[in-house]
Amino acid sequence: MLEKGKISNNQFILIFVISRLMLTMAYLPYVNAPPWNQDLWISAILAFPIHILLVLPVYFLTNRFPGQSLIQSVETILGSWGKIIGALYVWFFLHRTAVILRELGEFLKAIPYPETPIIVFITATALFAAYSIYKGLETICRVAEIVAPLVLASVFLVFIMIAKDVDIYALTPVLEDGIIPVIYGGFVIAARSTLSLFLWMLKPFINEPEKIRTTVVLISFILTLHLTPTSITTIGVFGLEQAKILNFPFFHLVRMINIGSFLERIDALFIGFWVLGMCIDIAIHNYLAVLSAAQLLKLKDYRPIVVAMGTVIVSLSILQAESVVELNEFLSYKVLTWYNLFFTFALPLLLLIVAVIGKKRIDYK
Amino acid sequence: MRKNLILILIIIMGTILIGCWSRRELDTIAIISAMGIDKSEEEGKLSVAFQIIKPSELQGAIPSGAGSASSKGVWVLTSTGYTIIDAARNATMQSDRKLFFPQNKIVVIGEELAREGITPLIDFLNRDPEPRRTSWLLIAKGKAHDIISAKHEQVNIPAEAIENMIKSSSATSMAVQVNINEFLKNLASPTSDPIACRIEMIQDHQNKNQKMRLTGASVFRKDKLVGFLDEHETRGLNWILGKVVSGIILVKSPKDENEDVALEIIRASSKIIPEISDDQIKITIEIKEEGNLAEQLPDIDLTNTKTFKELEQRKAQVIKNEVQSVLEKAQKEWGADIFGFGDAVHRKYPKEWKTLQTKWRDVFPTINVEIKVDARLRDTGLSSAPVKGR
Repeated sequence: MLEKGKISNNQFILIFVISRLMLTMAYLPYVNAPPWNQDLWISAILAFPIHILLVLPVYFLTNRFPGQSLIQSVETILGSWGKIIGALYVWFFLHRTAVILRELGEFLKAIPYPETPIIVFITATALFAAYSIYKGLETICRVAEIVAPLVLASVFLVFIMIAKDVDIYALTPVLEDGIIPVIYGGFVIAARSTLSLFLWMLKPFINEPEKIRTTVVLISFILTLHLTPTSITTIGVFGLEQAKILNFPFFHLVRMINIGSFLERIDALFIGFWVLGMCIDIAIHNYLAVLSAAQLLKLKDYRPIVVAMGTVIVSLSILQAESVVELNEFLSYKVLTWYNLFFTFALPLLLLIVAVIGKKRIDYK
Repeated sequence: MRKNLILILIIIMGTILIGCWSRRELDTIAIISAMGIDKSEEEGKLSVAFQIIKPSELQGAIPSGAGSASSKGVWVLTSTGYTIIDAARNATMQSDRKLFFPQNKIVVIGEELAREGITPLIDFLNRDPEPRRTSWLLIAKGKAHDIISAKHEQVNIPAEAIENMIKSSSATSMAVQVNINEFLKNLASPTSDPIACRIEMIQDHQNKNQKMRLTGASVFRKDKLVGFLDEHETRGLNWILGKVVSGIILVKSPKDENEDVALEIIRASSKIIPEISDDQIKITIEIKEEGNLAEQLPDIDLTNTKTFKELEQRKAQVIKNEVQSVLEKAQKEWGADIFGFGDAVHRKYPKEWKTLQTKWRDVFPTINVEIKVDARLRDTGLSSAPVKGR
């Protein structure tokens, strides 16, 4: 086996929550997606069941092929044709790492360091990611275990501190345009998540796979628990129209905090926590890219390709978009939702059907 | 070999990752405490006045000392440009340091410029990472430059004085407290029109000096200034918005029409209730107020239930008049929905709103507004009857 480490279910929860939370925190792309109005918080709640629904195909697949990761079970199902699908997934992880790296760079370039070239942040973070991959999955997850409570606690504190500035009436009227756009919005939110692929790749290393159902539900629950107050506070403080215009709504929210005119200007602290979380986010995505590539090529050890992959990711993250405008076009709900859904839901569903028809499975030993 | 590699890595990281790429030391930045924007005499140009803090003047200065008023803690730098950021960069040619915006507390815009629309000015404050959205937005009656270069007796940095004036205005509720975020929120909202603070220079009769004073509110229609509210009209606006915190209401004494009685506002709240029947929109404003007897001119004992009831009625009438006066101006004269009536209708009648939204500007001035005031008098303060000289 390539990876000898084991992670606990709790570590899996934390590492996924962190990797999901960080981008939402900075960019909050959902304001510019359906339902386009103040019902976003309902969408956030609806995303909870939809999220679990989208994980189902992968859940059944992992039950059918216990102990096998994404790449391996695809090959079991499709034989040598599985290599092509596997390569697609390697690309997906590679590209996603590059996107996240770029988003980190764009944020840092936009706010604290406007004069620094973006490649500095990207290279530095990629170096960190490469180092943590050398140390293995267990290390990344343990760092997440330290950082995640910090990040979650600080986000929770932000909600409390901004609560007095929230105009709760900005959320009315409820369900102005009916329920359909709200459900669509919940779907968009859930579709952005890559929980199913995390599960597929990492389930062989989880030490209590029989409890995975609770784990998945808990993850979706925590994400909803984060996104609902985020949408309420963002729209409540800035109003809907402003929230749509702002590039980094949550960051502006942190900037607005002013309690008794002594607890203010804490945005630098926020950036610190955010970068910490982002580093883990990038490390785990990069790790998945490296691991899937190594499994695809049937290598004995993934360490030799870390640097090579890192180089590809850094160049890709710079080359993928000329400007932040171009990047946002790809990240808008119109493109990313369907791009993600193809990999996280459609393809696994297809594979599941093929596996069921072909009666392919691995029996418990 | 391995150790060397690690060493090299540490050295590389140490040079790259220290995070001080865009650093600016304190002695290389000019900290701005306030900025004022006016139209320049040159066609199409803006003239921006920056109030820059002089750290050396503030060192060890005793703010309340006798000499401190003469030594100014700030330096006012005026620069022109086609946009704000253009002017800010042009200012570097006169200043030895680069301007630094995050500590900016006050943004003043001149009346003349505000009448032409301020969206182009606000964009910089919203887009650039340096300025904060919590800066207060004021419209100067007259020139913004006069406000920026005005002195204040109490503090070295006049911007601080303005900020404190705005914050403590809740003692009278006769001014509004609007920061950039609040303004942008109302500006972007499809239903309501924004307001901003109003400031002007007033003549001080005793020592012929000019002083800054908050004198009500300024009203916008979309992004264009349409007019100013005076202090009582501003309190009328605050009654409607439910933002009255405290203040004094003067009524004539029921026993003697020449004497004034001062009533203190302890708490107040308001409700805007829209109603649509037969395509007619009616809005009811319910205001609840509670207060104390704060001061009366002597010799008449007012503390009995009958005069208390009478005082309550008179107080309600004063509140009603204040509300009426602001409605008269903003609704009938300017057609600016600064009260959030549109939002209220939107909330209660989302379906009807879809058709109303497009013609709201035409509908708004014709709305029938009913004002209900429930004013109570609770306490008499520490003394029941006034002191009587025999």
